[in-house]
Amino acid sequence: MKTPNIIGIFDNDDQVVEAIHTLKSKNIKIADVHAPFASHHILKDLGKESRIPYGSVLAGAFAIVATFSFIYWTSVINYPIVFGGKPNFSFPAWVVVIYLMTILLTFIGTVIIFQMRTKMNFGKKAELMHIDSTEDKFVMIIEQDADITEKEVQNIKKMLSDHGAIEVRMDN
Amino acid sequence: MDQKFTFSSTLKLRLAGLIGLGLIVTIYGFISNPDKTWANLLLNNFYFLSLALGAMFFVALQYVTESGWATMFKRLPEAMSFYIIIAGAIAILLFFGMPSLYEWAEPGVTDHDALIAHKSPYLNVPFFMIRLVVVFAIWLLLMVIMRRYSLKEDAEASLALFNKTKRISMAFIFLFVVTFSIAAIDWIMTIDAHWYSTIFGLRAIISALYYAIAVMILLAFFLRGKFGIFQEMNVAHRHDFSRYIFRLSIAWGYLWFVQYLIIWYANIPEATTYFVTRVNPPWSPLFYLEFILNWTIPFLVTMSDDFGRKKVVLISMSILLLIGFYIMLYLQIMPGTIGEMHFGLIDVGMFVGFAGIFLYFFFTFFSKAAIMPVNHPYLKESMTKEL
Repeated sequence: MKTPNIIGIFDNDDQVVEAIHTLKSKNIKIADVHAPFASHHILKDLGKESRIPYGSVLAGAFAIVATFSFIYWTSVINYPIVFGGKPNFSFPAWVVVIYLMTILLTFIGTVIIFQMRTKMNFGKKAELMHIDSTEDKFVMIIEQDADITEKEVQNIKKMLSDHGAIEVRMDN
Repeated sequence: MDQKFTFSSTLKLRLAGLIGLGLIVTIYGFISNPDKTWANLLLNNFYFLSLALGAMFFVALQYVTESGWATMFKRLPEAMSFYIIIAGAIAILLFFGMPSLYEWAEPGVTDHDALIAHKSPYLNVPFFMIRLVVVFAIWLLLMVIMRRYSLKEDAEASLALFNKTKRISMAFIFLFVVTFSIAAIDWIMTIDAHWYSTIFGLRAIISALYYAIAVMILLAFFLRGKFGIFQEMNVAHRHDFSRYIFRLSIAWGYLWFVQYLIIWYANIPEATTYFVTRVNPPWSPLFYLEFILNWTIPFLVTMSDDFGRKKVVLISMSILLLIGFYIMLYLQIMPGTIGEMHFGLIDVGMFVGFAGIFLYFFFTFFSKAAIMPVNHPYLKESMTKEL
């Protein structure tokens, strides 16, 4: 049987950041924080810096190469036709197309990479620890190890409410 | 907090040495090759005027957007903008060099050149000088007002002064876009009087901000390293500086390419001659170098924010950019004025001299006010900024 998680619900991000600092100094592992908005402080203090920008750069590099190859194939190799006296391989005119395609493909690629990494496919049902984390509350989740004692659990709960958690409970 | 910077006599002497060197080279240049000297005078004056105005633009931007991160460095751009005084004097001096700089200013050119004759209601010497005086009057007036408010704020803390400066900044941004477009078109673009580009003014404006940031970075690190001020500068400020370089590199590259693409695509002989001259030897190496130094390298290097905010990266990018700016102006001015590429003693010497004047003015006015704008409402936010 899965042990229930300790859930702390907070009103604002400053309290969450302070709670993270305290818990980390006591070597208690925080599984995740669900926040209504992206907060750099929380991400950084949790040690969960996103690597999605690298994915975007990869997608962008792929987009540049792919678009360039495609235009090169169409207008130089497969169907070389002269437009307005320009050479077939007229790179300046392609830059605009490559630029716009890079934006589009980077965006699509980033979304795909994000969904693959977080396993959030289309049509997936939301796993909400607390419905208010979609509105204005911060939810901190601490997974219990199997060998955790009741005293330690009480300790963690006390720490959370000391830092201003408006609700602390156990939940799956 | 309200300590002042002392402009030491050794630094003064060194900068005076640079200015003296520049002066000697300028005099030698006027004797041996007046055409080239006039062109260099225009180039260097515009170079440092851009930095001064770009710095002022930066201050105005911080006020209008009410952003606090750069408040700690506010005295840097403020002191940089004082070069406008010298720039005005030298620009008026250019009156005597106009026939050698501008084709349209040569007496009698309208008789045999129909295009210049057509443009002559705008491009004539008296109106040119009137525009020159007017734009400098506007810049000097706004500079003096902004400085006065800034010093007044040091004496008495009041939010009213901040709001007043904000309003002046709004006026400045509007007027700067108009006047600096006029200035860039008048002084640089009309060298090739038959050619025109509607985006020329905008390129000059973006460049002014872009390179002023580079100078600010160099000066901030220099003052921190040598004199121990700006100790509060941390990774957050370096991050913001590097973001400025990154984003302005995109803007710069975009405008450069927009100018090139339209002319390349339309293929009108009148317009393309400008680029045909520049993509062929002897100018072609500079043509590609300009684009690489000003866009490719800064864009790729500062793309990663972790890497871009390293001190050594910021400093090397700033130096590259200042070289890039020189090449940009060199390519805009030299092919039309002297027509051949002879980079030599006059170019280097005069640049050194102008840099000396710019820095001398900078340090003089930097030492006249407290290093930190003590009563600025955003100072605390700036000094305690975290990433």
